[in-house]
Amino acid sequence: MAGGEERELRRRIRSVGATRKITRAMELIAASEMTRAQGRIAGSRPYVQGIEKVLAATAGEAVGAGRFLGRPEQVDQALLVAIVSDRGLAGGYNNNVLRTALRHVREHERDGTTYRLVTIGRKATSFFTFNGRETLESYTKMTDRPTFADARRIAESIVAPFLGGEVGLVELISTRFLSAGFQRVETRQLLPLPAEDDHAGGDRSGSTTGHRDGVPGGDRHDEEAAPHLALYEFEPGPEELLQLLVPQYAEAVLYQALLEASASEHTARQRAMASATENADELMTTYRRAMNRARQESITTEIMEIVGGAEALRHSRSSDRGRSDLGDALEERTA
Amino acid sequence: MATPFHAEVVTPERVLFAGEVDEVLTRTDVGEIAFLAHHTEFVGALDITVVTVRIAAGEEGSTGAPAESSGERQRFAVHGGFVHMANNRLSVLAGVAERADEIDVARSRAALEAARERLGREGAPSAPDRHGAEAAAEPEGGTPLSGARLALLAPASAAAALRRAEVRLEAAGATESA
Repeated sequence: MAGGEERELRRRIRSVGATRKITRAMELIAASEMTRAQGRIAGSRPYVQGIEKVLAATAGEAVGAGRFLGRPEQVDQALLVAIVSDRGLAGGYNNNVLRTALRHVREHERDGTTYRLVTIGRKATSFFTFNGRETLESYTKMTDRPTFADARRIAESIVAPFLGGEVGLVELISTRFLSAGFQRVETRQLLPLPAEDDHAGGDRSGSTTGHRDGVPGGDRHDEEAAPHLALYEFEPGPEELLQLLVPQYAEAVLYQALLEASASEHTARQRAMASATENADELMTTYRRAMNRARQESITTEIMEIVGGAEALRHSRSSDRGRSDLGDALEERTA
Repeated sequence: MATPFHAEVVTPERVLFAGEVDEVLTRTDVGEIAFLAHHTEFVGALDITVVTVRIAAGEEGSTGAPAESSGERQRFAVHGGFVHMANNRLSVLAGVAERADEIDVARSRAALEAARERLGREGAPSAPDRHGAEAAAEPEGGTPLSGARLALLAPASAAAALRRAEVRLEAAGATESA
């Protein structure tokens, strides 16, 4: 009956309200984590830009750099590093990266390149297991607040096979944090070191064209002109320097990618949780209206019953006085 | 008086030092080197070593430590990295670097002992300690790695740990005999 519906709705409102509290809290946490991550991106920029300058200067001079520099033509074995998060509840954040990664691998495997995967974030592990792909290494618990030591650990696992000649190409798929309102999944070559012209603009993969221009604070175009003209002294020689740059460049790029991925993750989560909170508000309004209507209905019904009952009694008494014990009892009660 | 120029010591997590200096001393993979203003454009791989900057007169390091007089020296322990000089600006880029006054001497001593012990146990860096990168860096097998190679290509090895501990102590100004 009506009272049951009311109770049920009250229960639902309470449950949605509790969920709303959680999503609201997650939204606020994500917002503050995002601010923190943004600060750390800014903090890492001088270092990453410095390393890029060193690379640009060295790459211009290194003639016999061979497999340490530039885009390799034929690759048999490649590594793909994908950065996602440990937790869900972040909208499409994880899926965007993972689907791009899987598509990338499938496309290039048709050209005869075998890919192995290095994943960061628990969500990647389950995704690739589900898709029947083995991962060479999977790292977890570093995307919330990545440290340089984390980047170093990942770099170790990719630099060793690269320098050892087991893989000819290492690529990186992650979400770039271009601004608080704009993040994008991007595929980049991590190793061999990207050659200068590769850097400057003509990125080979269509989805990322021109991304350098979008990087906030990316004043590299002006500065890049200089090393061309400069005559550098190198210690040790440029070819040897390039080899030494491999681990350090990988660390720097991975660190920045981790930070940007983390900022993007928190942004995505904040957005997802904000809309979840909004939905909860809407749902509660709907339920509250339904509950009020149900309550009003049950009151109306009750009044109708009482009035109807009293009316019927009066009627029966006037027509048939002698008969109603029940009628007497009821009359006493209503009186 | 020396012409001042701009120098910075940068790690991925923060800028350890940035300011006007008279002179920067350090050691690359090849040997010791000093930078004065207008040094030629230079790129070098750093050893695991000490970087000393002589702060220019009237300058303060952005690190907040006030320079009482001109010519004050600040030392940093850097664990491999690169030095880049261009347009009269010098950058020291190191994955890990510490300011001398932030170094925990007791801990460094302990690390030194541990590294020595490890090295003694293993002799030369031995098989389990070496993976692809290290092997690639040292194709002939026998020759010991140079400082920069040790720092960048084999950071986990006992030899690298030993150098790091020594350099920390040197930067902190703690003599080993104590």
